[in-house]
Amino acid sequence: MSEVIRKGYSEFVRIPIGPIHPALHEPYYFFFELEGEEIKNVWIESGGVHRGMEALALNRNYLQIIPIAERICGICSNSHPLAYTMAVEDAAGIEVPERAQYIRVIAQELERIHSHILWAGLGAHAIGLDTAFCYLWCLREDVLDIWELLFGGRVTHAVNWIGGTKKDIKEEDIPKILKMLKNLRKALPEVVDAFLYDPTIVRRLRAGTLTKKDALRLSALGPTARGSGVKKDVRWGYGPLAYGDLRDDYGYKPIIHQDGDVYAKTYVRLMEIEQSIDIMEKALDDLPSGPYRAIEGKTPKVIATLKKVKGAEGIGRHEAPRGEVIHYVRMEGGEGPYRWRPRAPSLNNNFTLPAMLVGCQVADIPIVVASIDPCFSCTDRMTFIDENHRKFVLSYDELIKISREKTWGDA
Amino acid sequence: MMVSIVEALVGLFVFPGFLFLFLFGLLFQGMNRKLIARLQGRYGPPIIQPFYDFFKLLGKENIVPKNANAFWFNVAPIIAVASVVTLMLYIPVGYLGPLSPVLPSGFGDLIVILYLFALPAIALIIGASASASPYAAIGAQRELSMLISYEFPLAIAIFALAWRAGTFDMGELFATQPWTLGGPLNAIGFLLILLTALSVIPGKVAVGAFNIPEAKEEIAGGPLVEYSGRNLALFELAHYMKMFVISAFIVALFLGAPISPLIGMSGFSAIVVDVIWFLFKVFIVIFFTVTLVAAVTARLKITQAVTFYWFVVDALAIVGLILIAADYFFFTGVM
Repeated sequence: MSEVIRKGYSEFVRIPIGPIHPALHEPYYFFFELEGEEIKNVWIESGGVHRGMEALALNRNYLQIIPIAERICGICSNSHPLAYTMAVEDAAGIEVPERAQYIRVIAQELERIHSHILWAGLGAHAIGLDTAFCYLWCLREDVLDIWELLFGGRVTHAVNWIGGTKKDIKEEDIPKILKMLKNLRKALPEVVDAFLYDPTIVRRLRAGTLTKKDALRLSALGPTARGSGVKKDVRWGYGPLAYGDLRDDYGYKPIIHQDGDVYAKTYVRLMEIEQSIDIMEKALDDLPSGPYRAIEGKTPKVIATLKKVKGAEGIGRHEAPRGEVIHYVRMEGGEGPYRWRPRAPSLNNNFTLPAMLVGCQVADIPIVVASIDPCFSCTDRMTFIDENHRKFVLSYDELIKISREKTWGDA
Repeated sequence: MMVSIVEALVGLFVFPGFLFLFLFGLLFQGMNRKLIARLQGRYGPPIIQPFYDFFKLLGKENIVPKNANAFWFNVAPIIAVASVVTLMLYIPVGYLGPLSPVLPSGFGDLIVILYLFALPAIALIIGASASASPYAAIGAQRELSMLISYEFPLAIAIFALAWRAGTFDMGELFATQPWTLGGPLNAIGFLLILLTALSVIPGKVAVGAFNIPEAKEEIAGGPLVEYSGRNLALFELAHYMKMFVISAFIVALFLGAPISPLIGMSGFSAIVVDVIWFLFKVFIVIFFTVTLVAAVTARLKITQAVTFYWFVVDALAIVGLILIAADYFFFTGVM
């Protein structure tokens, strides 16, 4: 956003929200023009939390990047490493064993359950209903306990490994997972009841409509798109991992809602929790036996295998709880990738916010911003500063040119 | 009835004035917070946490924003506390007797009380407008909208009672039980009026669905966004005292019956028992109108809240008023 807009004349009241504000959990800058309580114009500005993830990765080998990818997002901490390993496997042509694919699906759905419960809690907090927040985060604790039991970490899970998973799921742990899922399934109707039928909550959720046209134009992803009636889900459309089997055998399909407002997005997320429980149960049922890693041996063996790959590109696509994650990897020999480029779903979703916020009231800002489940720090990949340390903005064409240069040299 | 200087000073600063209000306002807020926490499945802070907060804030730096109007910015919290303490002097704390009527002529006027009740909110609006912050400006707008929405049902409730009891004197109203003024229709009418008065409390105290002016997730505390240190401590104190006073006011008007005649006590011990009984009733009222509302409702938008008060609560009050009038004109007859 330029200084002209910020300092120029306007007939409306102007308020900034962010970079630090109770409605936002991460730094982001919104600039509103208001008439009374109604929002007339919105500008958004990102770039507050550039952490240099890609630069960090340049000095590390293929396996050391997995923990970095895990820390791109604290909540999608399985989706990013998964998409990264999928990209490396795609480039190196590694076939992942079936058991590992099922374990990845289980981990991924576990993450979706935990993320959507967390979102529902934050949504409740955004409309001032802290009781629901407390109860939902209490439910989430059980899911985190299962993470700890299966993979050792509550928040950063370390599930993925190139060519498979880091750990296997033990037979004796399966009943504990099933028990947790059963308890969750029992507790869920109460949550659904509160969010979809409680009069005060529903009144607050009917705000921030994203039309189907806008969702397609701004290429919204994940529940944000599905809440506007766009059938977009990598799991069922593209069918990575074992999702292809599950889709064909059990006929799962994306959950969509036509309304496009916060209520619709809430509906999609809550129904997806239920679907994820189903998928996890089926996947645990069908869990095939066999190896869980394509490359036998420890780190040096894996690195040695990957070192041989030269001049290959790979793409890892995966449906994170917030939408599609894409990782791009280019391998040119050496212990680490020549180029690694993650793209978080919030990059697309953040730019649907102006379309949703115009016409809302000030009171709607927290819940509408929360409705896309934004992950602002995941999206920040670069910040441009000139010699006076002032930020500046690049145009689309300049950006394309610079990215091409960075990826292919002086092309 | 004349009051000596000592009596007036004790009344103003000790009982039922500042010290009493300070202790029970903060104590009830502590209990309120603890109960909300238990309802939410948390442990919650210790019951005396508001005291810690208050004294800690007193010792903190008092920042006045550069563009603020420093005079009104600093005066507003004092007006808020002073108006709430003054209000308490009009409210009989469970009995009528020594130290209770501190004003020269009985308890004074219900209309004065009604106006005094608007003062803390107006002090907040003044302070917010003086603090030169866009968030505070939005908060002040919302506080004003809330004020015009809940004052009308409260006025209907109070005037229904005053009309039926035939007096504006707080002491006489305390001694009268509105339920006993007529037949069953009258009792039902006053039940509706009581409901109206109770539903005004969450709006006045700004909790739960009506925590709109302060809305920390939306406008970061609204009117209080620029306040810190001593000024913030005073505003918080005024807020908790207001919670106590508005509940005590409703209890004194509608549920004022003392317990000592029932158990046959008299003298000083009767007063002590009556005060405790009164505090217990205030606590129950706070529990249902503040704690529960804060725990189970989501914050409404300002337009929704105004609609609620103007159409739902007002309708309730007017139906109650019609029932009372019907009872008076058709059954009880002109006294």
